[in-house]
Amino acid sequence: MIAMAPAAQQRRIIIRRSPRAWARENLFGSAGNTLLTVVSLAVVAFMAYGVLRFVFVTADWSVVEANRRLFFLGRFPADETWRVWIILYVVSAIGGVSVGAYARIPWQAAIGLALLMVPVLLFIQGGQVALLTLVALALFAAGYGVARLPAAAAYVAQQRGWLPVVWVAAVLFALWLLSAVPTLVWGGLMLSMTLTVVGIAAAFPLGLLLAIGRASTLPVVRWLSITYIEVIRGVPLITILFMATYLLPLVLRPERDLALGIIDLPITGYNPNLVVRAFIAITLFSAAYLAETIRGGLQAVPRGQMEAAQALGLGTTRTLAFIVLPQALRAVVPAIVGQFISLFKDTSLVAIVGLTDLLGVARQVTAQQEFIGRQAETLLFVAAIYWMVAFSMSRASQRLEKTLGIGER
Amino acid sequence: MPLVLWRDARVQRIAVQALVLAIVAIIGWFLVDNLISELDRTGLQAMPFVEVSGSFPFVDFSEDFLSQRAGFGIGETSFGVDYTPNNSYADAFRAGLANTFRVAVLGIVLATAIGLLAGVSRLSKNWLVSHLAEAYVETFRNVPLLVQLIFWYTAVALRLPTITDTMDLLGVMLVSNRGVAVAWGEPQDGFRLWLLLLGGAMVIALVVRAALVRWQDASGTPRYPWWGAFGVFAAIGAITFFATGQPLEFQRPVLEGRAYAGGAQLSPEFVALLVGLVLYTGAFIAEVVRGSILAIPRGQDEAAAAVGLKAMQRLRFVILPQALRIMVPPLTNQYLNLMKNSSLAVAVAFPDVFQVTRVTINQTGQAVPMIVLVMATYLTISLAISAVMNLAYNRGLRGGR
Amino acid sequence: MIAQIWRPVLVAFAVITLAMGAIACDDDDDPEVTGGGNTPAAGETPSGNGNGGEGGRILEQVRSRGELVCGVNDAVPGFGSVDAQGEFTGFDVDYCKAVAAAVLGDANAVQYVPLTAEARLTALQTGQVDVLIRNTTWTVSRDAQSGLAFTTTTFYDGQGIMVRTADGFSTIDDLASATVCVLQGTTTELNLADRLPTSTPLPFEENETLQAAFVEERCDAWTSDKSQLAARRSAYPADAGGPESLVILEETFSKEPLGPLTVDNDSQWFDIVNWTVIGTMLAEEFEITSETVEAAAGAPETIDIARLLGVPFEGEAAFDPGLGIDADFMQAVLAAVGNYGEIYERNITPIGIERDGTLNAQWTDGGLIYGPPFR
Repeated sequence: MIAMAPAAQQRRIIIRRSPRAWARENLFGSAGNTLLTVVSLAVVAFMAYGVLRFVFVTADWSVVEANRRLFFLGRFPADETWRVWIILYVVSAIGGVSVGAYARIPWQAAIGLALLMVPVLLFIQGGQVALLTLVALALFAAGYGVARLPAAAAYVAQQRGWLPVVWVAAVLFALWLLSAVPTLVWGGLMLSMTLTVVGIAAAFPLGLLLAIGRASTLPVVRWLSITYIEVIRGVPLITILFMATYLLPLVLRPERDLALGIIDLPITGYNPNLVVRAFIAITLFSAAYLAETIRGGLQAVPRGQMEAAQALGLGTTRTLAFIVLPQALRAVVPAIVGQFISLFKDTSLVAIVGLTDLLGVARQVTAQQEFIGRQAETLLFVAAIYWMVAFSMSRASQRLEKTLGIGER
Repeated sequence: MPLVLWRDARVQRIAVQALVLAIVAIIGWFLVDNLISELDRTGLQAMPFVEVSGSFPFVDFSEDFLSQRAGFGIGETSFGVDYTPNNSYADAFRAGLANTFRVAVLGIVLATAIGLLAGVSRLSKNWLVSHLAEAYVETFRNVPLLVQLIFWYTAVALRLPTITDTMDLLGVMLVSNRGVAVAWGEPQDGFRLWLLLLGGAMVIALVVRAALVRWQDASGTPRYPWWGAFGVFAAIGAITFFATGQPLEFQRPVLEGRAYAGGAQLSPEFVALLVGLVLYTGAFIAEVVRGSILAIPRGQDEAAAAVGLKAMQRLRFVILPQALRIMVPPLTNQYLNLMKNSSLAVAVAFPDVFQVTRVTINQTGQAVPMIVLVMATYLTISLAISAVMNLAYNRGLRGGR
Repeated sequence: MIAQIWRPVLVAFAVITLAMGAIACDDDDDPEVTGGGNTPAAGETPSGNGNGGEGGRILEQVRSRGELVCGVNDAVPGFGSVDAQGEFTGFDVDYCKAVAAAVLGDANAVQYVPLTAEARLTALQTGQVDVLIRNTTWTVSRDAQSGLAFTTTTFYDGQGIMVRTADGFSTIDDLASATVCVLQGTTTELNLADRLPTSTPLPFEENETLQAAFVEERCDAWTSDKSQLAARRSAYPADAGGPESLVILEETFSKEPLGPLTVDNDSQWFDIVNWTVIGTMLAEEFEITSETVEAAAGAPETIDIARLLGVPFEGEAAFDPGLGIDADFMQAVLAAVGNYGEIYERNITPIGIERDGTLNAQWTDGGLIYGPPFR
C-alpha cells in the first residue's frame, strides 16, 4: 500500500511564444495530435460537466454543513477545542519556517494555496472559526516571511538541521496537550492526522533498528529483522488492524503473574482501548515500511565512506553513528514524507474496525435519520479533504527533494 | 588468542545474538502464554485448531471447526467453485480465495495497461494529453482507495439502470446495476481436447518464432517472427476448433425475469472493486512508467531518431525495453499492493477471502486461527508474486543486454 | 563536523525517549484507556486468574474511574447513533445512561465505545467495556460458550423481510430465487440461509451501503430485524418513493430478543444492570415518570413504589435490595431517563414503530414487558 513514485523532474526551457504558435506546437502539431486533442477535450468537457452539475445543482450539502464539527474533530469535547487550535498554530508557524528554510514558494503555488483556501473559508462560514483559521494562515505566512528575511535567511539555512528536532518537540507537545482528553473521543480529521503522525514518529525508532538489523552481519539479528519486515509487508494493513483489534487485549493480559519458573513477577498489564490498539497496529505496520525506506538510505551511502571510517580506526558502532546514519537519514527525508502521505491515506482503514476517523465520521453521519442516503456528498467532501492534504504534501516533498539535491550527486 | 574471553570478537557476536534471541523468545512466550490463559478465562477457548496442552499450543487439524457446516451464503464464486451454505467453512474460505485470485489477476493486467497508457501519455508532446494524464494520476493517487471504492460502488455501480431497464449494447452486452453480462463462449463436449491441442499449437508457434528469428538474424532482413508465430497459432487453433466439432458455443446473454442467463456475468460489486483497484494502482504504475522512461538517457532517443525510427518505433524498440528493466522492482511492489488492497472488498460487499474470514470469525468466534490463516494466505501469495517477478527479472531482463 | 551533523538527531532521540516515558505514564493515569486493567485496590492481592470469579470487581472499577464504559452502536437510528453535536442518542444509549445513573448517580458519566458487530463480544469479554448495550440477540450459544450473561430483554425483535410494493412479492416464499441484501456478521445472515436457502445473499458490512444498494434496486429484498426495517422504511427518502413504496412482509422468521450483556463471572455487576432495566419497567407499571418521581419519592402511594424508590413507607424503614449500590438508585435512574415507556416514546416512536399490540407493550396490555417483583 505504501508506494512512492520517483519524482523525476522534467526540465523545461521556457521560450515565450504567441498563444497561436504555442497551440500549434502543443495541440495541433499533426493530424494524430489534433485527434488526440479533440478526444481529450471531449473527455474533459464531459467530466467537468458531470462533476460541476453534481456539486452545484444536484447535491444537497446540508449533511456536511450540519456535521462540520464531527468531520474535523469527531466527538472531541467543545470546551477542549482550544487544545487543537494551539496545536494548529504551533504547526503552522513551524511549517512556515520549515518551508521558508528550504525553498521559496513559487508564485503559482502561492496562488494555488490561496485558491484552495477559498472553498475552506466559504465552508467554514462562521465568523469565529474563520477568524481562528485566518490566524493559522497568518502564522504560516509570518514563519515563512521570517525565514526568508534577507537578514535571517543565511542563519536559518545554516541551522535548518535542527528543524527535525523542532518537529519532534512539536509532535510531543501536541500529544501532551491532547493526552488530557480521552483517546476514545478523538475523531474526524484530527484522529486521522494523529494516527499518521504517531504512526511515523513512534515507528521511526523501531524502523531504524530493523533497518540496521537487516544490514547487520549477525545472522540471527538479520533474519529476525527480515522476517518481521517481510511478514508485515506481505499482508494487508486491514489484517493487521484486525489482529490488533482481536488479539491485543488477549496477549497483553491486564493482570497476571509472569512465572518464569525461578522468579514470579507480578505484572500489571495494559488493556488498550480500541483507539490505542489502532495506534499500535499502525505503528507496527509503518515500522516495517520505514525500515525498508531507511535501508534504501543506508545502501545509498558509498562503501568508501565506511572503509575510510574503518581505516581511521572507528569501530562498527561509531562508523554507523557518525558516518553512515547521518548521510542515510538525510537521503531518506523526502521518502519519509512520501510514506507520511501513504499512511495518511491508509489510516482510513480504521473506519472498518469501527473507529471514527474522517471516513468513519462519513459513515456515522449518513446514519443520521435526516441524512440517510447522502453518501455521495459526504464521500466527495471527505475525498476532497484527503486530496488537499495528500496533494499539497506531495508537492512539498518534491520541492524538498530538489532542494536537498537527492539523486544529484 | 586473547586472554579476555569477552573481548574476543567472535564471542561478542555470539553473545549479542544469543541475547537478542532470548529477548525475542521471552516476549513471544509471554504473549502466547497470555493468549492461551486469556482464551481460557474468557471462555473463547473453543479453538480446536490450536489445541491447548499444558502451556504449549500445537496445531491440531484432526477435528477442526473448518470442516463444520458454514451455514452462510456467498453471493458469487469464481473459476467454477461450487458453494452452498451446506458446505464447510474451509470450502467457504476456498471460494473466497478464488474470488480474490480473480480480482487480483484481472486487476494486475488491467492496471498495467492503464498505467502504461497514462505513464506514456504524461510524457506526450500534446499539452492537453499530458495534463489530462497528470490530472488523472494526481487525483487518484491522493485519495484513499477505500474512499474511492465506496464511491465507485454507491455512486456509480449502483446508479446504473435497474434490471427492468437493462441497457442492451448491440446484443452482446447487458448492463444494469445487477451486473454486466457479456456474450461468451460456453464450453461443449471436446473443449478439453481443443484446449490440449491449443497448448500444442502454442509450442509449435514458439518453435516457428525461434526459426524465424534465426532466419532473420542470418538474412538481415525483417521476417516478423511474432506475426509469423501468431499466424501459425491462429491457423492451427481455427482448424482444430472445427475438427473437434466447435467445442465453444457462442452465447448471447438474455434477460430472464430478474436475472441474466448465458454469457459471462460480472456482479456490480466485482466491477466496482476492479475499477477502483485498477484506477488507483494504475495511477501509481503511471508514475513508475514515467520515472523509468525519464531515467533513460536522452541520447538513446536521439540516436534512435537519427537512425530514422518513428516515434512509436522508438518507444517500442528503444525506450520501453530499457525502461522495463528499471520498472520491474517498483512494478512488483504495485502488483503486491493491488493484491493486498483487494482485501478492501469488504467495503463493497464482494466476498473475497478476507470477507469470508470475517464472517467465519463472526459465526464461530474463532478469531485467532482465522486471522493466522488469512495472514498466512496473503503472505504466501505475496511471496509467490515476488518470486515470479524476481524470476522474470533475473531470467529475462537483467541479462538481456 | 561529524558532531554537528549528528547533534540534532541525538537531541531528538533523547527528547523522544524522555517524552515517550512521560506519555506512557500519563496514559496509565488516563481512566478511559485502562478498561479492565486497573491495578487492584490496596490490600487486594492480584489473583493468578485475572478478573477471576469474585464479584463486585467491575462495580469497584466503575466507581474508582467515576465513569461507566458502555459498548454501543453508532449507526442504528433509534437505538444508537451520533447526532451533529457528537452526542450519542437512542434506546440502547438511554440504558447506558440508566446504569450510570444507578451506579454513579450521574447519567452523563458514560464513556461510549462504538463497536462493530464483530468486535462487540470480544470487547466485553476482555474488559474493554463494562456493559454491552448494542442490539445483541440473546442466543444459547452466546450465553453458554462465550462467558457472557444476558440481562432482561429490553426490546423484542424478530427478523423480517422488506420489499418494494411495486415488485409484487407477497410472501417470503416468493423470494426463493431473489437477491436479498443482508447485514453481515449477524444472526440475520444465518437465519436467511436457513429460511431461503436458494436465494442469493448480498452481505454488507454496514447499513448505509446496504440501504444505498436497496434504494437502487440492486437487490429485491432487505432482511433485518423488523424494528430496523421499520426505522429505515419510515425514513425512506421521498425521491425514492417514500415509505408507501415499501412493504414489510408479515412473516417473522426468527426471535431476536435484544438486551444488555455483562461478563459471566461478576454476578453483582450483572444484578445491578439487570435490576436497573427491570426498575424502568416496573416504574412504568407503577406509572412513575421522570416528572413524577420526585413527588412519588416524597409521598409514595404504595409499598411497592416505596421499595422501588428506596424510600421509607408508613414508618417502615427504606428497603435496600442489597445490590451494593444506593438503595434509592432508581430515583436517579428515573429522574435521568424516565421509565421504560418514556424511553421507548423518546427513541423508538420517532422512527415509526408503534408499541401497542407488539411484544414490547406492558404485560398488562398483552405484551412481554414484565418486571419481576422488587422486594
